[in-house]
Formats: sequence, structure tokens, C-alpha cells
Amino acid sequence: MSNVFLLIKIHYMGAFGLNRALHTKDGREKTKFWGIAAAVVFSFLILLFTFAAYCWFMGVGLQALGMEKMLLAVMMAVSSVLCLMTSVYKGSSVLFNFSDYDLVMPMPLKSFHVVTAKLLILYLMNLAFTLFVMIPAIIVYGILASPSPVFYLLALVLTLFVPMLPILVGTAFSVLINMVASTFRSKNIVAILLSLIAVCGVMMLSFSSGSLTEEMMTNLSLSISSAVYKIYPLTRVYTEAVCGPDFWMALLFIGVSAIVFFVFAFFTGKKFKAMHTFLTTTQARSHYKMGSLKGSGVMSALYKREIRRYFSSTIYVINTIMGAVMLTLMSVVLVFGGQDMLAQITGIPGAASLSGYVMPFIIATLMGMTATTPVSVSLEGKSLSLLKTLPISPMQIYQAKIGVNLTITVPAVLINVPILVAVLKLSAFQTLFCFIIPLAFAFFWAQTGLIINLLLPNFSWTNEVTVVKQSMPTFIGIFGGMLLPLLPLIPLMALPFSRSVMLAVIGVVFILGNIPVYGVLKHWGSRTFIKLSA
Amino acid sequence: MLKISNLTKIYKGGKKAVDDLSLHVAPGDIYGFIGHNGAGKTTTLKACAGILEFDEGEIEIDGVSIKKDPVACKKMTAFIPDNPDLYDYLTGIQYLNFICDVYHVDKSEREEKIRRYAESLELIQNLGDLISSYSHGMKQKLAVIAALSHSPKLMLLDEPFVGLDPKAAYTLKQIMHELCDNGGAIFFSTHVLETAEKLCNKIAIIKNGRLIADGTTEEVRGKESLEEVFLELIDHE
Repeated sequence: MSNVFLLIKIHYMGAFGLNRALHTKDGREKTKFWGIAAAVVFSFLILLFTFAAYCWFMGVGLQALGMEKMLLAVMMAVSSVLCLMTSVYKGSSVLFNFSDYDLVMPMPLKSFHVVTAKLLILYLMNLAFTLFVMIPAIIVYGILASPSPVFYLLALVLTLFVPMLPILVGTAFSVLINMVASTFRSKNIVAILLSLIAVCGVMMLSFSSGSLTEEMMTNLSLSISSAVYKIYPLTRVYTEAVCGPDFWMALLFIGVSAIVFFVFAFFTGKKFKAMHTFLTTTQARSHYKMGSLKGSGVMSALYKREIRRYFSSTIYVINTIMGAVMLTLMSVVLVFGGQDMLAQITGIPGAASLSGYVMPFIIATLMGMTATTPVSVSLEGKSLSLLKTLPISPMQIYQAKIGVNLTITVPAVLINVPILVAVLKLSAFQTLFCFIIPLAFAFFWAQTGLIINLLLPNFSWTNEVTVVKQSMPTFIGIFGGMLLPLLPLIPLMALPFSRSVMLAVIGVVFILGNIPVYGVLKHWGSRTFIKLSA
Repeated sequence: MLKISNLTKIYKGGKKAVDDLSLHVAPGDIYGFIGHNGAGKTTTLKACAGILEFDEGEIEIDGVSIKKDPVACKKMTAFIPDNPDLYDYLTGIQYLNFICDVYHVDKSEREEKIRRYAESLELIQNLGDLISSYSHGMKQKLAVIAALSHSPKLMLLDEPFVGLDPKAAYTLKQIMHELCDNGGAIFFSTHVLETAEKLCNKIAIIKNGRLIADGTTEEVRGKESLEEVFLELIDHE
């Protein structure tokens, strides 16, 4: 099994740019890496603290109903659903789409070991998230219920197994989706569509889980436990094992997770090479007949290349389009559920009455999640030098990359805002800012994303997942894009000024914020691009 | 066509990859650039292609400084790296069209050029397929077609014959002669000394970043074979 750990070690040396930071002789690069790492850890701790506070209030609420152990069940269901959702779109990529396949497979390694290593890489990515959700819940439960020390031991051990089944189910779906898609000529588009349908399905499931909890909190006659257990039956096994404590249940939970993991790895290992060939072979028809060619301008050519690059990667699309998809789902839900659904979706009590002021920022935060640019430079990979040989300026390349980002965000805003405005019955003034703030922020964040990526590029990846899911730029891009547009809500709600005036001021700030960022990109960004090397 | 003056490139950590290198590639020249692994050939070629910054010296293409006006230099140049990492997500024809768009090649010219070179390199039937389905040799052929599609004045090639089948290698040599007969110039690195000896009118030998021999093929080789001269220079200089 030491080979498995070697493969995992090699993978994580490439992830986050850690190995480069450890071994670079460039002091500035080292300082930059550790500085940003410290900022990310700091942001992570703030998120953890916020989440722990959320767990505390939820735990206190459940304790009042005498159901504090459901805190663990709900949090386990939440983390499992998210692990399942993310594995649906990245599982197949992690398992099969690694460019060092030709390097790894000739090594004297069993396919079973390669598959186990890849599954464990996927597991570790999800474990980090699971621990983020579960540890605050375990601590809160510990404070509220004062369980025996055995609880902590069992909770710690069993939590390590929580992500296993969801990632295996998600990966199986992911492989199935990609196998079906492989039979089509436009396999990437088919894979993207099927993955989106699957991910939206899981999202709707999690949404329904949220609504059940709300209902349960106000209706004591309804059994909370049966509802949560219905969503994910293993939550019952987990909570009974750790809260009991029940060692048989603990063994059952560990046993089921470990056996399914082993069986999955064993059978995938048996067919690994055949599956890899099936999933990664591109159809070559070799029957092209030279016809008339259509020319276009430089910007149009660059944009077309960028958009083809974007849609060529399922994981890139799914990871960056979710904000736009969530905005659309929100519109659909509000159309059918009415404006009262807004409080339920956002978790903000009385959201409907404040929607005119809150909505621009909610849309902006969803557009911030839809940032394609923070990884777009890194995704050039080894073909970066090809781009550098072309007689074009770095700014033209950046404009094409920003263009792709805006292709996703602008239509999402233009289509959904009129629907939301109609459902929420917003005033003309509020409607204006529902367009201005999200669009200005989408442009701002698309530019900022490029700056982030230029600061932290990575061209030595062997799997797109490393860049799209596990790099600092993607972390900063998605979380920064989510949190930044929410910050103006603090002065908007707290300061004793007219909210309309405040909204107008914030809107202007959002528009003007684009100017310095454009300047940085044009001057510093152009100089930096020349220095980049793959 | 290509004038390199006192080129010096120092990598991080202080390694001098190229040290005070000067040479001149005139129109009509097929200039071979030979040296052992890590001698500085690729670094020099990349600096000439405008994709690598250098510390000292100057590179001019047709009298234009690559430092002062890189875009103008790149318009006149085509660079083919040793391992062409093309855009796997495009089809061959999409890639060629992209390159022609960027170099402003008009419609009729691009059709004529692509058809001509794709036919002579026997790649035309594969142009509708994704580049990800291409073999190394097919990618190399596509990179050659792309390079020729915009009629460069200067071609910079890093190990251009690696991966090409014998017929394609022969065709490429013919194309190289044709380009130079029409006033263009070629500067290319190779480890195949027989090819360099037969194909090039001028040769430069580089060792540890420094030019140790430079001139017409006859001058460099003298009465010996290029292989003998190369081994002698590399071992004893």
C-alpha cells in the first residue's frame, strides 16, 4: 500500500503550489505564497467561527425540542449531500482524466492501487469539507448534551467515514454520465448537461431537506428524525452509534463504508484500463474534406478559442456555472412559490420585505461564484508558450478571457432579473440597481480573477481538477466572489441613512471599482504575462 | 533577418543558460543550431520567439527589436517548439483558422496555404478531428502547417524532425528550401548532425551557453564530417 501513499503524496505536492513554494529559490515567490496561505487560513477560520455560531444556535433550538442529537444528523446529511454533489461532477475527472497516465501506468503498480490512490485523493478533498461541517456540530453537541468521553472517540472515528459512501455514489454517477456522453460526438456538451441535471437534482434534494427542517422546527408533531433519516438513512446509523453509544452500529457504519469503498476500488481497478480508454479516447473520423473557410477578427478568434476551451472541460464549466444555475433556480422557485419563498431560500428572516435592497447583492454574490477567470490563465498549461508566440497583446488575451466570464454572467442577470423584479414587485429604482450592481460586480470580479491568477499561476498541473478545484486562485475566486458583494449589506442595513441613497452610493462604488482594477490589469498584468513561463 | 547580439540569459539561481551569444541569420539562410542537451539551444530559440525574457543583449528580426516591439517581430516569425502542446480541445482546422485569424491571413490565401501544406504533409483528412486524437507526429505536422499558413519571414524550429515520418521529414526539408529561396530564413536546432550537414548552409555550435563555432557549413566542418567536428569541439573546447 506504500505505492498508494506515494501517489497521493505526489498529487498533493502539486496541489496548492505547496512544493514549489517549499523549494523555490525566489524569496519573493515564497513570501507571496505564505502570505496568501495565511490570508486563506485566516478567512477559513472566520468561516469556521461563523459556521460554529450557526451550529450553536441550531443546537440550542433543537435542544429546546429535546432533539439535540439531530444536529449531528442534519450536519451529516448536509455534508454528505455536498460531497455527493461535488463528486458527481469531479469523480470521473479525478479517476480517469489525469495527464500523467502515461507516466504512472507503466510503473509497476497494480491498477487497484492507482484507483485506490485516486479515490483517496477524492476522499481527502471531501474529508476536509466534512470535518469543517462536522467538528463544530460535534463540539456543540458535546457542550449541550454532556455525553461520555466515548462519544468523542466514536464521533471522531466515524466522521472519518462520513464522506466515503457519498463520494463513491457520486463518482459512480459521474463515470456513468461520462460513459454515456462518450458515445456522442459532442461528448463534452452532453457530459456538461447530464452533470448539471444530476447536480441540480441533488441541489433540489438538499433544498427539500432544508424546507423539511423549517417545517419540523415549527411543527412538533412531525418527526424530525424520520424526515432527516429518510433523506439519508445512514445518518440514523451514525447518530445512534455516536450518541448511544452503540458499538454495533459503529461497526456497521464503518463496515458498510469500508467494504463498499474496497469493492468499488477493486472492480474499478479490474476494468481501469478499459474504462480509461473508453472515457478518454477521442473519436477520429479522418474524413475531413477541405472546403471554404470563414475568417474572423483577432478578438473574435481569441474569444472563440476561449469559449471552446471553457466548454471542453466539464469540471471547469460545472464548477463555475453553479452561481448562474442557482440564480435561475431561485427565479423558478420564486415564480412558482411566490415571494415568501425568499426567506426560506436565503435564510434571511423577512427577506421579502427587504428584497429590493438585498436582491442586488444576492445576485452579485451568485455572479461572484460564477468566476471563470481565476483559473483561466493556469488552464493554459503547457500551451502557454504557444499563446505567447502570437502577435497579440496580453490585454487582448485578457479581454477574451473576461468575455467568456461575461458570456455566462451577463445573460444570467439579464434573463433572471426581470423575472425576480416581477415576482418581488420591486420599484423602478430598485430594479435599476438589480441590474447595475450584479453586472458591475461581475465585470469587476472577472478582472480581479485574472489578477489573482496572475499572482498565483500554476502551469505544471497534470489534472485540471488541481487547478479548478484545489488551487488557491479558485478558493479566493469563489469565496471572495461570494463574500465581497455581501459586505455592503452591513452599512446598508446598519447605518441611519436612506437605504435608497445608500444603494445608489454602493452602486456607483461598484461601477467605479472597475477602473483601478482595469488599470492594474492593463499595466501590471501585461508586464506579468510576459514573465510567465510554463 | 535575425540578428542576435550579446544575448545572455540567466535563470533563477544564477545559472547562465546563454552567455554573450551573437549570430546573424541572413535572408536565404538555413541556419543549424547544434549542441548537447542543456547547452542553451531552446533558451536561445525561445528568446528569439519572444516568449522568454533575457537579461542582456539584443535580438532584432528584420531590424525590429524584440524587446521594443514584440508584436511586430512575432508577425514576421513562426516558432515550432520541440513538443508542440497545441490546443487539444480544438479540431485541426479550427486551430489553423485560429492562427490565420490572429495573423490576419485573408480567406483565399489561408485556404490555398492550408490545402497545399496539409496535402503535402498528408494531414488533410484529419483536419476535422480533435487535436487530442492526434499522434505526436500529426501534432508536429499541424504545427508546421500553422507556421507556414501566415507566410513567415523567419522560422524558428526546435528539433523539427522529431516525430515526423520519413516522407513528412523530406517534405518539410523541401518546404524549408522553398521558404529560403523566396527570401525567408530558418534558424533551427537539431541533434541529427547528418540532417544539419546536408540541409544547412550555415551552422552554429553552442556549448554551455557559449557559441564555440559559427559559419558556413564548409567553414565549420572543414575537411571532416560535422559529427567529428562536433564531438571534438564538445570534448575539448
